[in-house]
Amino acid sequence: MEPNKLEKEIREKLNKREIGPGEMAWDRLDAMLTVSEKKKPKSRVWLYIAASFLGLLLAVTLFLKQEARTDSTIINEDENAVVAAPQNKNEQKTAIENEIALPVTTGHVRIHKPASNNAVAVQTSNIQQPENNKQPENAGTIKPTVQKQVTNMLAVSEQEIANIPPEQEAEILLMAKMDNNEGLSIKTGPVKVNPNALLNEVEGELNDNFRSKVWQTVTKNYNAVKSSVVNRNIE
Amino acid sequence: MKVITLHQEEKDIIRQAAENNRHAQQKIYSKHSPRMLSICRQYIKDLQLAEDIMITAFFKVFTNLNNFEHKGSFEGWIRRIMINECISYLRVQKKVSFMEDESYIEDTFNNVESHFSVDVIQSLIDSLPDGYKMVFNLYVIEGYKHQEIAIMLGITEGTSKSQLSHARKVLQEQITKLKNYSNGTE
Repeated sequence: MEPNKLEKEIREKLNKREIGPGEMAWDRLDAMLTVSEKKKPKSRVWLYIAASFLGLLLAVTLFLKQEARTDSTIINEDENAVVAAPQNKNEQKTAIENEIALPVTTGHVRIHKPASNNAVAVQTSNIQQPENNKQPENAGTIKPTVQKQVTNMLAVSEQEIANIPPEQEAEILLMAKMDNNEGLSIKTGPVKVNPNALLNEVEGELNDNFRSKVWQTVTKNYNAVKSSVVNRNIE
Repeated sequence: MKVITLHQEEKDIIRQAAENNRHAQQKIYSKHSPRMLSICRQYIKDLQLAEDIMITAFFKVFTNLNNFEHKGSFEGWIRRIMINECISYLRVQKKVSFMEDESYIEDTFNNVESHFSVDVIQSLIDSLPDGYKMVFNLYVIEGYKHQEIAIMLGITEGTSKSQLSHARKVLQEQITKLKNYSNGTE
């Protein structure tokens, strides 16, 4: 059933026909297009803002969770370090006390080797003077004088110990350790420094600063979203 | 060169219209709206209603301009949107349904000629029931095959052929009446 002559004629005439639309037709179409164009960008902006805010919240919560985990591990490490450090300090104290006590008990000043000579020299000079002073005196008094000298030496040595600065004291302790072949539990050095504790202190400060920064950005974004919502409602 | 220039100009206008350039959109509307309203009028008897449907169809044209792939003619693309809009209105709003009738009569249109004006032709088509009119317009004026018409209207190919046959029969009767009237035999 192909189109016949009549149908071909109908087709040609109708295809050629044009009917002009009314004057208001374009205005109506223009209004429809304007409305649809206005709707699209607003909703997209709103969606983008909401999506970014949600993403930021998610990132912040994840970060805070991680921080909580690290804080708990750091606290545990701190406790161990704190528990360990005093023990080490106690050990150090006892070791030092022992070292200090050594010359008192044995009468042999080992620690003060470099200074001992000076001390001895001092002492000898001190000793000599009383000896010189005491020579014309009775020999019976030599023993008490010797005792006195020894006590003086010990007193002086103790004073010397007290007056020695910490750096020298540390060196002296190390040398004593080497001589005695007695191991102090100090591995890191004469001055006990707990690196973990130091790190944790610094990290704590850092975390606080970063945390405050994150909180500031969160509040800033929240305010931005709030203002945009208000503006949108006003429009 | 002129053809290429015109084609490039149309491409540029289409691109601008897709970017919501109102001036470009109005150019397209001014160029194509008279013919498109004529197409809508083929399907819709009421001119004002046909204009409303045309405006709705143009809105869809401009909001979906990015979907035009420049494979066929731009006018053909707009025309297809107009026809779909008209069919959608008739099927949804007016709830036109088709009788599943696959019987058709051999038509005797072949030797009939007509020297009627386009208005008369339109009035003849308006006299057809909506179902007959849709199939007649799609087959005769738009040049769709029955298979394509069946898909567009959601009917069988046999029903499409039957509808066309009935439309032709009614038109023939109408034309014969008119001819007899004009000749003064009635």
